[in-house]
Amino acid sequence: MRRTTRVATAALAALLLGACGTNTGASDDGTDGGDTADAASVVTADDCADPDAATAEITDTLKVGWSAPLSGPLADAVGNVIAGMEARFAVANDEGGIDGVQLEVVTRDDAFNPERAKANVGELIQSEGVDVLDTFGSGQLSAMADDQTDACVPLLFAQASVPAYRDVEQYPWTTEYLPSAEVEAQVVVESLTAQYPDGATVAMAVNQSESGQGIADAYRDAFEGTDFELVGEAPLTDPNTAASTLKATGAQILVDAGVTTDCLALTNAIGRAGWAPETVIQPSNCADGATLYAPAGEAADGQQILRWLKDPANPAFADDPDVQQYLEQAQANGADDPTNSYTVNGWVIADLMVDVFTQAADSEDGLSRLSIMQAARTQDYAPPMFIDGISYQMSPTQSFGILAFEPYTWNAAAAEFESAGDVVDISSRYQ
Amino acid sequence: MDLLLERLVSGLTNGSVYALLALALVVVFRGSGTINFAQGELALFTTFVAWWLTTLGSPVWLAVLASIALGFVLGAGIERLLVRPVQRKNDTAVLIVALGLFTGLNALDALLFGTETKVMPSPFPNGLDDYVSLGGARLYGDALGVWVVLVVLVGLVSLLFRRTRVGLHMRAVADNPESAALAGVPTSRVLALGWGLSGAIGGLAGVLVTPLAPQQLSLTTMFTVFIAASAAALFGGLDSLGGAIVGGLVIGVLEALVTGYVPALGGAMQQTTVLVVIVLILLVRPTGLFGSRRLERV
Repeated sequence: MRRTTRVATAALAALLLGACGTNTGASDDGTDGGDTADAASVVTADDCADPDAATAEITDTLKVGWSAPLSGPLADAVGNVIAGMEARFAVANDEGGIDGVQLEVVTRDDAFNPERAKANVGELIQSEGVDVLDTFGSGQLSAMADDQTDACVPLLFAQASVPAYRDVEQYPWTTEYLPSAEVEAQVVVESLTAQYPDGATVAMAVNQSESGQGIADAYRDAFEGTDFELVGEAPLTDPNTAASTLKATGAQILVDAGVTTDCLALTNAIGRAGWAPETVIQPSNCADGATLYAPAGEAADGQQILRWLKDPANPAFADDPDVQQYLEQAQANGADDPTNSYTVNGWVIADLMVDVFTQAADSEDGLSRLSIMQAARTQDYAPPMFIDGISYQMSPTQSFGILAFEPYTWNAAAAEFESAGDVVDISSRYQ
Repeated sequence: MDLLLERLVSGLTNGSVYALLALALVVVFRGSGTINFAQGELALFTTFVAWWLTTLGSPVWLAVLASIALGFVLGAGIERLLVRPVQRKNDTAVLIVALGLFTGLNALDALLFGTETKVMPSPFPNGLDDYVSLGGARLYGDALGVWVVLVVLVGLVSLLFRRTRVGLHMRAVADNPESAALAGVPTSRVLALGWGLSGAIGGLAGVLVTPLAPQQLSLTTMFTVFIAASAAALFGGLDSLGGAIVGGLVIGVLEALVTGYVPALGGAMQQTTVLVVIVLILLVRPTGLFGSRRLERV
């Protein structure tokens, strides 16, 4: 039995260590581009392994290579992202492509494993000859960014929000789609300031991952120098313990510095702890009402999030002509779950790409990997599925993309989100 | 004081979840001398089936019974079709089979039920008002239900092992299958029964603990629970029913207290901290707190 116990203990330890992550603690500063005034001076082919390939004109087909978790727990979500993306490309191709160049998506399964993502990128670049890359997940982006940068293949609108890749000098060939925690925290504080002009007490539940720590750091910075007082923090490792700890602070506001899986868990935990803070702020990635708020019932009522996308499942957008057109085109082109938020995200990412490709094709150099990257670095575009008044803005001196949000609150009785105010735009802070 | 009570209740609730699954591990160990690393995923699979039945309109209690029955059939089937053929040749190979089942069952869940999170209804009252106050803490119906089921289950399994012929056979087979066979014990049937019983307990555990899990019903629900349950079984002593309970509760309470009072350690390394404590104890008592010391004639 002693031998069995030792073997079992070792196996258990191996399982546990396999589940552990790392925390690099990088800071979120999307304004590292220096004083450079135009994209051409930020992104050049000078340091590329093969400068000619980076400037070669793309003809016939433009391939977008995706390394994504097509198997495992995220497969459904990512399947919807890709379905949305392919639907948007199909619409562009039906309209003649990008000056006649057809768009094609090439996928590789990384099972949410960064090492496989790294291998996939090598294969996508060398075997498939893709012109543009994309990926899903921070670890995946980190695993592939150096290789993709060396090869000078644009990696556009990664579904990640890692501060390091907003540094245009270090990673001129990489951009991210998801909002920066720094921007989101500033918008939340601005929105709270309108709600609490004299300030208030704040408690924060923090996920212990790199993402959670990044969000928490952003909130600490955003609250600094305001009338809001951070009176308590608790790790989200055990949501029930976090709820009890933060309830004891008596804070008026609870901020969830967590990831998607924390939203429902924290809501259930504070409900069961009998704590009803005046205001609960959930992260913007917790946007799916049906799975993250409705199951919690009354405990989720009044919780606030920031949104940048129109929600085709929300009756408030039923008459929006852009949403109607999206639903019609997405369904007609194979996206069988168009109201799913992941499908909308995939569509919008493809829409942003189509805009970048069009700008690149219209440039003096024509459509090439270099002109695509230069267009991405100066993009200012409001996708029709973005909430009115919000656009995706890039410049050689900032790489945040999304710099505005509209606040929403969850109505438990109606089981839907309702607008809680006008769009809060902080883009002027980064000009 | 209220905060301490809340943390204790939270820890005991999590601990009872671990103990329930640890009980299944102990049962299969006492019945066959094997550690079933697929126990958590087996429980997850039967829970997914139970959830699917509720979506078809089945009452939740019927779904619970179906989960128990399916757990029994799967447990016995796994022993008969996968474990027995390899165990004859190599004991360690059984661990590999179990680890293969661990990943295989999870992939099957994804294939059959999709990868999005589901909400498994609880067979016990678990609304926001369904609680009793213990000082300043709230004890909810679903947590209380798990505690009661745990106590009843330990009683029944203890009776089985100590007071019945089948239980005696199971202990004999686990101790020495060759000698048990020579003494006329139907070892094949007894081994299948041990695995089946363990699968049934896992089937019950899955549907009871999922509504309490932060992840609800998802592909990752049982991973952390299984790690803690395995640690509980090892800590208590792999062949001790009481040890599984004590081990589970100690781990649950330690986790809650470490997270609550030492957030610097309990945040990122909650489970690691607790497991380090347990490993230190196992260094002093290798058979766990209540495990039997194995004696061999030389």
